[in-house]
Amino acid sequence: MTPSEIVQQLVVVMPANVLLLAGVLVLTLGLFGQLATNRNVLGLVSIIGMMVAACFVYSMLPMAAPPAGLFECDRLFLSASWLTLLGGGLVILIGWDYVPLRHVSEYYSCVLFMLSGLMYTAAASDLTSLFLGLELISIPTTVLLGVVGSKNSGRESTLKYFTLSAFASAIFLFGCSYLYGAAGSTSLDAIISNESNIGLTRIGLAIAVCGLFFRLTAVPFHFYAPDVFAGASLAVVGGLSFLPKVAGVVGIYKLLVGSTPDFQAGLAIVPLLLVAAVVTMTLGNCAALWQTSIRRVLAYSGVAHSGYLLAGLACVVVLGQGAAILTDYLAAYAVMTLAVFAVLTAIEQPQAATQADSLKLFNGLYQRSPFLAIAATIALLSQIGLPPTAGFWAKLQVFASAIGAHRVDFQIVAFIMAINAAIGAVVYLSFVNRMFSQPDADATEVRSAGVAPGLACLGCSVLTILWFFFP
Amino acid sequence: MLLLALIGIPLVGGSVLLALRSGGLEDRTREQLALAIIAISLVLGVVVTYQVSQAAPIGQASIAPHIEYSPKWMRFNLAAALATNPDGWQLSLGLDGIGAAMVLLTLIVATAVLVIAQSTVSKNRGDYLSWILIATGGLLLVFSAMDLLLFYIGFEITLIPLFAMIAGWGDADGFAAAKRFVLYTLLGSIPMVIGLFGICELYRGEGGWSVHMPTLAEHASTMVLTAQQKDLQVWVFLLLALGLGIKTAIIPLHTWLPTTYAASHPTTTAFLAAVVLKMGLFGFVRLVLPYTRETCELLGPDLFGWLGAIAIVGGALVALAQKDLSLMFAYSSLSHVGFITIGLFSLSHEGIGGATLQMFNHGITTVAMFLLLACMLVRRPSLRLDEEAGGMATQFPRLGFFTVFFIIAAAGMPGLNNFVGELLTLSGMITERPAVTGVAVLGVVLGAWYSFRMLQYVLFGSSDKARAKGRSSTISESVTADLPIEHKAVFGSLALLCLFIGVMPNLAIGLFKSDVEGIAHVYAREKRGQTPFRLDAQSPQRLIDSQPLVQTAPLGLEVEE
Repeated sequence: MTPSEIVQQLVVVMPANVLLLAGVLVLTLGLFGQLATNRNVLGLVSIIGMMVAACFVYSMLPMAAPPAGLFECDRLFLSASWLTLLGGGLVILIGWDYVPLRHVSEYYSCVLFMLSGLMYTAAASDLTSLFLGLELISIPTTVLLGVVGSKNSGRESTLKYFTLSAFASAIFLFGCSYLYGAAGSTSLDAIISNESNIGLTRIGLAIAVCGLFFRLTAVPFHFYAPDVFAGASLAVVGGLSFLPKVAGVVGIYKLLVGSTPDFQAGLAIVPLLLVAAVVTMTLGNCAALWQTSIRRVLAYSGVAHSGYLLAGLACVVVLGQGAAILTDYLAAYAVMTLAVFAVLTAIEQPQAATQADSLKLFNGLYQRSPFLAIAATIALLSQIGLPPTAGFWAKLQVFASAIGAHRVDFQIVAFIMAINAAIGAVVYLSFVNRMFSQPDADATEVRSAGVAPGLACLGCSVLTILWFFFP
Repeated sequence: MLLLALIGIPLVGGSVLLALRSGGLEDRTREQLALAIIAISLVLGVVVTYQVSQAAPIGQASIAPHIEYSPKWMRFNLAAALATNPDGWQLSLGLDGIGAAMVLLTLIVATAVLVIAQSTVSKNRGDYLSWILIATGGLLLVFSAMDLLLFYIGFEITLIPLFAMIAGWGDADGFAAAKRFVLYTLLGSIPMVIGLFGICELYRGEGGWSVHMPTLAEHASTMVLTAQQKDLQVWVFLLLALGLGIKTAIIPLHTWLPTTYAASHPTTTAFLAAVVLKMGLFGFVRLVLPYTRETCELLGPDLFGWLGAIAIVGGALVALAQKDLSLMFAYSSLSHVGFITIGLFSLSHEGIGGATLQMFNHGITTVAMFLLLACMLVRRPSLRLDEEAGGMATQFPRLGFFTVFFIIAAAGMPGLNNFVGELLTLSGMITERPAVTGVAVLGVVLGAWYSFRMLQYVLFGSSDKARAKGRSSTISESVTADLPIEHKAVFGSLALLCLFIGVMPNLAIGLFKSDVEGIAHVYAREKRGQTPFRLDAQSPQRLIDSQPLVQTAPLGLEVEE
């Protein structure tokens, strides 16, 4: 590869480079004593970095003929970049007041690294760059889990996450080795257009997709989620609930759909996706019914949403349409999930960690803080999928695609999805129920929500409603 | 444009009033504003209904709007729609005669509920009235939707205000009841989405999926289905029947209803029973009958005919055993809805026409009954039905008069509205399934029994025993006067409406006659092997032959066309 080609490649993923540089800058600034303790300066630097990246994304157009190489800039990259920036902005706002002062620079830089990793994943057109992007997400996550949450449970979740993440990466690489063996190239285009060794390609794809299930917290790689969510700091968990999901969805989409719509080996994986979707959403929703801790409920609710995303992925693979339903779903998911986390950072007491995550925290929230209660209610209605919220269209599009796939198995999955949506409604409505009931006698005052999480809540609520009217 | 205003005014007005809660506006001012909003909407509703009655249907499909509103900005481009239809989906509002009748009913009911609620609801009246306005807006959206998406959005969006109304103003069990109501409904309506998309899938045209009802109905009437598509249609039918049946509280799916009705404030119950229930029935008319024709013929008369008959008799028997007035009325309402189900699934002109008329009638009498209950509640210690708290008629003669009037109307007295509707539905069914009709008639007798028993205990029973213990122990509630003037006006106009429809049913039936024929003619063609009947001037003789709506007018009145 000549230097000019390398430069060309880097230009393709310019927004990601900007985020990476911003992350390095924040980390470096953290070394200087005065600045390291000033969260506003570091936060502003991160936000400015994201804005610059946004300008680059805005100015980019999907390229008709991507140059051969590690990265390409297609529609998926652009929409995934917007998702990244949206999710990243919300995560930074949520963590603004919440992260312990001495870890501020690590927090911001790791989040920025994760975001750039996500963009690299979305731009990847080669197995190596795909893996690079995925690792750039999971390594900062491990650091964040370990550094920001310093309790014992935090260490436990760090270890758990690290081991499982390494395990999943190994599975993914194992699948990749089969793909390389079948096609003789690591380029995704070559793998997809490869006619010989279909059987080997299928096995490789199945294994690699299973490796990516970890990012999606799909069954059977879901069980780290509740433990990690319960142990880690909320600011990290917020990011963890959203960013890896985007990576997982984008990765599976790249492997299975790629640039050609009828990719036979990809179609062969569809039953695997459907089964995983059904099991994941059913288990997620049913398990959420029995939880007594908010964080675990949210973890299982995330698992359930992964199930819908997998069903959407299966539809996209079969119909050969763009990833638009997936990005729409992810965008709606971002605002509705992160809104709940933003509310949670405001009402959870960091000191009393043992009872902190009991469901009782939500009791009578409306009396204690009407603004937070209404923001949370909008987010939860969106998670159920009721109009007038963004979640309504998100679910509806997956339903419509599943019915439109002309296949009986898809119609059965659609029906199971509908039943699941109703089970999910029980979970989310019980939160609403708690918020509007009488507060407990021993309920503590809600800390006045800081500007940044308040802004995050407001932004999420406005977007949730707005995206209903202008999808 | 008028349609948009009709839906927008209560929806936006209610939301603004709700938001003004923190704006420091007095409750009294908000109540008056709410009344003004509903008055404007009612006037608009009457104007729209008049327009519909004058306009000819657009298009030949079985769902043909008389007036339609579908501007450019309602074009709607979902990502999922991209694959099937490059233009996206064009949403549209429209009204045919059946929709117009429901719109008018909704507005009449909402107005009545708002007026009565002002003096019977005790706390946070401003909020309560705003929620009613929002719910009204959602209902109007359902009744004037001309595409599947708007129908579904309206269907779901009403849940939010209803949840607030049941939970916030009910009794101690209100919250549990509201949660149960919403969850039960969601359990049916989310699978219903699959059914709705199933309709799109069944009747897809050349250009991919459409959600526009008249287009789909056009396809439905011209297409010949394959065996596989018929199988799919059975599923679509079952899914729709599940969602709509739960909302309508058809008998095996009715278990949410008694708890909800008993726990809610009577004005909320009035709104629920009179119009929210109609959403489900309206869905049967709008979606099930035109789009799942083959399955309706296969399952409809037997399944829903018997379910309806069971509802009529079972509901009446359970009502007879109730000790609580709102529970008694709840089961009585269940029993009356049975007639509508029977009429709809007789799949005949008379049946569907009678059912549509009965949907309107049931709304009027039910809202009156539950509102009277609300008026009694502020004059009685409880709504329990015991002999010690009788004798209300001597003390409140006007209240007594209206209660007797509406009880008689509900029991099916000739000359009043329910008689016409019930007769038509039964006469529609009698040619189809005589046995069903036979069972259903029993319900009329039982209905009279429990209603008159209630009259005896509550209105005419003696209150001497209670008086002996001291007057204040029984009839000592916040209100001791008879009905105030505005209540008399509301109940009086509702009573006049009952009388009017009872004496001159043709004016009401004329509004939706051609639409009912549009739905029923495909069934008629199947059954009798005839060419479809349409109302046109070329065949005056046939017009009279197959014009049972006119023949069954009650009291042998001469009815001119």
